[in-house]
Amino acid sequence: MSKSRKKTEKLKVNTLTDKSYRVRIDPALMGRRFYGRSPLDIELESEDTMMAREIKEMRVEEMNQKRRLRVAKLQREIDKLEKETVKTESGDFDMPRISVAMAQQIANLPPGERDKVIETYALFSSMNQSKGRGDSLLPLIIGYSKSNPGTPQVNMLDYAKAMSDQLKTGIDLVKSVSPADKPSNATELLKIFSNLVEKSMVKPIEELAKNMQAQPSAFEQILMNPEMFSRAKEIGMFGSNEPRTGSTNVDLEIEKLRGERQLEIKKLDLQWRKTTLETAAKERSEERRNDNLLAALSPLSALFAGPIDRRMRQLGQHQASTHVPPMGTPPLDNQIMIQCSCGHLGPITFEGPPPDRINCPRCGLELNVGDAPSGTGNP
Amino acid sequence: MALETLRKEIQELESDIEGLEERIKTKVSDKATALARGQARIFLERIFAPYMDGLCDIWGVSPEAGLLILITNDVTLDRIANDNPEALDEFLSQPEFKVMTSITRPIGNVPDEWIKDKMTVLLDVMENIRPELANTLITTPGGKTWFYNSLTGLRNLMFGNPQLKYEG
Repeated sequence: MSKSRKKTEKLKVNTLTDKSYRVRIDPALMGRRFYGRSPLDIELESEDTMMAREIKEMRVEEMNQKRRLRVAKLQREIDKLEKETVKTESGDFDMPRISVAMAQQIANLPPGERDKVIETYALFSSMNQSKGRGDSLLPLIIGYSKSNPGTPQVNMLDYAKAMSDQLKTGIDLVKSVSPADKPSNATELLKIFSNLVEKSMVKPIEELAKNMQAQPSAFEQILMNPEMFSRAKEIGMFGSNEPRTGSTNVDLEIEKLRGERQLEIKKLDLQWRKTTLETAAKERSEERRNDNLLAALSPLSALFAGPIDRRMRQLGQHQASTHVPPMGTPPLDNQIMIQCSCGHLGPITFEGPPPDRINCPRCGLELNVGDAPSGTGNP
Repeated sequence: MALETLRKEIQELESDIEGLEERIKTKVSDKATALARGQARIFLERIFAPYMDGLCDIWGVSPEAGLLILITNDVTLDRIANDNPEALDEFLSQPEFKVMTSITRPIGNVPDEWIKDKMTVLLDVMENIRPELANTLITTPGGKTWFYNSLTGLRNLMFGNPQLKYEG
């Protein structure tokens, strides 16, 4: 009895500890021996991992630096090569600059003349230190060779020298004239600009202000001038009255296709309707029912003709015996028999005395009352 | 060219459809007329004419004269029948009558307008089988109205259409 009470008390203990959070202290730090994987081991391993990661990142960075250096070196080499190319293209070397057209003209010359031109040009270029002069002389030398075929090379050289001297004289003359026009100082420059503005701007503005009046616009001028108007019309300024053949053709084609499609749809619709009607014409449930009814009516009517006739007659007789004919019935002598040539035969009744002439109820032929029947339609 | 062909085909189709519609209409009309004539013939031969004969036998007049009396006095057939309920009940209980009403059941479902429309058929049929009665109905003033009222009344009696009687 007491044991069971103790058990009950033990069971009633309520543990409030949160088992999801536990503080674990490494046994090695506590001076105890511990076999297996301790938290310190885990910590050391994580540090190793971090170090390995850092080393890896450093190596990657080193490789990137090396690559950047290589790229920079290559870039420098490329720049150097580009500069050399530019230098070559700009003619900084002492190579003669001959255009493609000049080269073609030289190539078109006869072989003897070609050699003379090339040699003269080379000789003159080496003799003359000034840049560009030989270049400008080459066309002249070629022209001289063409106009004077077979001329000795000495003459060609003299011609080139003379032309070169003339060119030099011209350049010197230009150089001597140009500085004289330049303003000597800022005051003179201002004066020149002042005069220039006065001449070019002020006077035209004054004249414009004096002569200012309403001028017709360009469009009005065109409209008022017949020649301009016709010219503008010719060039299509006001549009064209001619039909747009290309666009119209396309429109027509589109309309044609549209119409064709509509007709196709209508045709399909009509075909479907025709098929439906054909089916309806062949077989109709209503007709079948009517046919069956018609087929059954005659034999059944014949079968029951006798009994029904008899019964109906009996009914009529019975009702006639109980239903007395009302008084005031019209006298039967007001009824006459009609026999017409159309085949009509029957009585006709009048409220009063019959007229002399009556119309046949069937054909409407006018008949004489009291006459005997005849073949001509008269009664 | 394609458009022209299409137009021709459409014209042909329209013509065919018109012909088919006309054919169907004629066929339906013919069938309906034939059925109406058949029913009218049965009604006139087996119901109306024997009844009139029996009536006139007792009255001692010809059927035409008897019909004339009924028309003139506006005594319709259903009115006579209603005036003789015992005879009517006896008649309606006859097996032959039941067979007849089952055959002519479509007449029981037709509206008054249909009877009015088919009056010409009835008169036409009557003209063939009992020309003297038909002439009396046609020529006597109020004959057609009497006939119409008699037919609708008989329809109601024979096929049991409910009647709403208003008595002011």
